[in-house]
Amino acid sequence: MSAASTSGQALAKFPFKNIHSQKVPAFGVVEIAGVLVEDGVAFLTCTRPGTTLGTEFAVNGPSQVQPDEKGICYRQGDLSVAYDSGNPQAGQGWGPRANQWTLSKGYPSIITAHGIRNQANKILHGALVPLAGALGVAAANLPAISGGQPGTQTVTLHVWDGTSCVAATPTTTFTGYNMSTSVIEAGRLTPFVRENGLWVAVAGGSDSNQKLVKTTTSHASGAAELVNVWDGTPGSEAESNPLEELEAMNRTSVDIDADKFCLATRIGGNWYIEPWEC
Amino acid sequence: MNVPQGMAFFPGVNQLIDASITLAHGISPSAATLTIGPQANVTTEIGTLGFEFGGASIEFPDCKVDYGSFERNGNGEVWRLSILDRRWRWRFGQISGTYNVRRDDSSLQGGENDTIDTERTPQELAALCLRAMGETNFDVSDLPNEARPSVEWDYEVPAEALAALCDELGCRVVLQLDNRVAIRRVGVGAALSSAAALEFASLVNPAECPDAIAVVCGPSRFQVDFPLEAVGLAEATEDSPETLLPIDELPYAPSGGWSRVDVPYFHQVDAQSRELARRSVFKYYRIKVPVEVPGYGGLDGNRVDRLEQILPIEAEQVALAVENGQKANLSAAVFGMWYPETLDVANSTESLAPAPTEGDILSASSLLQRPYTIDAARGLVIFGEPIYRNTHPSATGSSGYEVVVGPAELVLRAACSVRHPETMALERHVRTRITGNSSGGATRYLRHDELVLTRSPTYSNDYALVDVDTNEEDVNATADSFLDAAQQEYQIAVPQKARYGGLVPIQPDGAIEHVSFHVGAAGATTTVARHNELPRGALPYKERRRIERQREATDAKTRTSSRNLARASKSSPYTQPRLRA
Repeated sequence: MSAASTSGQALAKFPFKNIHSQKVPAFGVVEIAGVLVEDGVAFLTCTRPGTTLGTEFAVNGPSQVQPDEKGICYRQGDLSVAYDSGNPQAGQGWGPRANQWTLSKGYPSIITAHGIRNQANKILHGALVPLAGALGVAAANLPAISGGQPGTQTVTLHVWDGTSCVAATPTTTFTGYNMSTSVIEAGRLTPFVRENGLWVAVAGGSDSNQKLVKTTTSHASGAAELVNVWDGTPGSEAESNPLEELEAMNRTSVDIDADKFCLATRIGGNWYIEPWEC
Repeated sequence: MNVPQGMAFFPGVNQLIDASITLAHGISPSAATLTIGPQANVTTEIGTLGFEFGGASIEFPDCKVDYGSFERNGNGEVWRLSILDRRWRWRFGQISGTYNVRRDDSSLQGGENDTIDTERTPQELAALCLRAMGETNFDVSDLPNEARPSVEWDYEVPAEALAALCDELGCRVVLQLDNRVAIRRVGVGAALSSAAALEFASLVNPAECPDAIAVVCGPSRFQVDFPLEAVGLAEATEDSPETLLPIDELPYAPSGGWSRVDVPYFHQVDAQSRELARRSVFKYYRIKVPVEVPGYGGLDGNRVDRLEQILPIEAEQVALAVENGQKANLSAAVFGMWYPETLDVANSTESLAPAPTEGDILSASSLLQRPYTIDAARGLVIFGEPIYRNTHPSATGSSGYEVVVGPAELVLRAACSVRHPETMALERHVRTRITGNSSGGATRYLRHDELVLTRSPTYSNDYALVDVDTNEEDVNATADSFLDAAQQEYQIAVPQKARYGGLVPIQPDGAIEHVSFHVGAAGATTTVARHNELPRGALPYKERRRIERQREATDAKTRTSSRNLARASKSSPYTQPRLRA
């Protein structure tokens, strides 16, 4: 590893090998695919971002790197990076997009933009950060954790277009993991975070730490009982289907009758209910 | 007619038969010879030697018995005592000080900007020496006072330092009969009267005057913008050890050239040569010849064709900057077109602009402020990291946005001396004065390495040579003062010798080189040599000086062991390497 000095900042240069069939443009974004050892030297193998969302990215140096050739890349710091279009502004997140070497606005952020470095050649200046989160929509219900085994499902990457979250184009997917005890319904826009190399859904649903429930039996103060989860649009709520049940603790000073709507709140992995009607 | 006896006295000496002394120029004591009758012992070592005749007397205080001998001849047993005049004490003592320090441009450090004022006139220097010799009554007014000779006295014997100063300025140290020490110009002094002389002779002994006298300065310093070429280390072979080659000629140069190498890793180079590439390619830059040396006038004008003529180069420029309150040479600088790795594609500059001068040095983008060392002996600049240039058109604003690697276009601005292309003799400034003598005598050369001619070019904004600054005027003025002194030695003078009856108190001066007194049973005589030396009076002055210098050199060698010499050299501010960026 060598270092370049820019504006008083030392940038580490990492050797890599371009394993894609196209040349990597100067300051292009590459996805790290693995490692290759040649003559005792470990090279990162890098390719163009694809339709399966990668997890590690780097930025090529100022020189083009031909297919099967070696170059240097940066993996941290304030960098020049090529972008596709638009007008990068400070604070915006820009990320890799399938089938291109340039950043796109709103895609899973690996660059926090500081501004434009060269508008004519579409080069922004920004801080390279690890990819930590993504928005996605599960193609089918993402099952809840069961027996310590998280539920998994193919998730379609969604990006922020400035107004709303839309599906990435080209379609890009990743495998989402559900560590919660709640099912994540298909079609629900869900944030995912990178944990232990997995894309883990943040909680189980859109309101995952608070649920509308209805008691199924008389729920004495200080007792834990099963409750049924209700969902749906306001005024038209219905019992969840398939039925989701929670074991919830009544820590209030009053007994709650059966068949009463309550707010269940998860605190430290435990559910507690408080009555909306007694 | 009865001639009164001449008498001589020295404490503790009896039965004096005769005595004589010849006073001569210089710092070595003159020796009086006393012939005396045998006596039990001579107890006094130091005392006043007196000569007396006919009511006239001359005294030489503080004399010292040097040695005694005896012989037996027709007159019986006689003893001879050799007694030194008071200059015997001048072999001792010390003086330390560094004066008339010359800055890097040969100008004097005179105390500007709160620096130490080292400037001393020759008369002030002489006075320092004389006081260190214990003298209080002296006359230095004849010493030419225009020159500013550089001296570095470090526990020198003060008399020796004074003699060297006088030699340099065409003067002599004279011990007068009134016991006063005077500095007198060679050849300048009183005339001799022939009227009362027992003998008077004018001799024919013209000085061996050269046709010209010349001051030879130290090697001239030229400030040069040396173009640099990228070189790399080649593998050692049976025929040659590790050698440097232009990077395109390196055996391991990538087949596609260096344009796509992944600096600094060089993975495009074969694995077995990669380490050499990493160590040297784009890090080693060598001075490219021919090179123009502004201000140099050689066989091909200011062009120098061979590297040997300018090596070793200096790690400094001729240009000056104020450093610690005094002017000192700027460190050598590298500038040019190189890629600064600022994650842009532009080079440091779009053209080979001149390096900035003092004042705006930090504002120039072309100035390369990366760590490097100068291998002066090989004419190399060795960078700590690869320095290369973006050769892609986008570097100058054309379409595209990328870096294509190529050797940087660099220039090293540094000073050097120049050697003759055939004789390898160093180029020195020579200030010559025609003496007017045309007898076919060659030129006498006086070495003054402390005087250094400098030449420093100035450039326009488009890097065209505008002028060459020089300190030639100042150097010539200083050299002239040395020439003035040297020329004193070749004044047309008629050597004379006179002998007078009795003790005649004739003072030695710059012209009267020997005054000899003799007393004995036959009376007293005074013999004087003007522009001349008495054949049996004493060793000739030049021979005495040679011996004195040799003695001083031997003493200095004894004082300074090789270890001490190394230590002294290391700690001397004049031998300390200057730190570079």
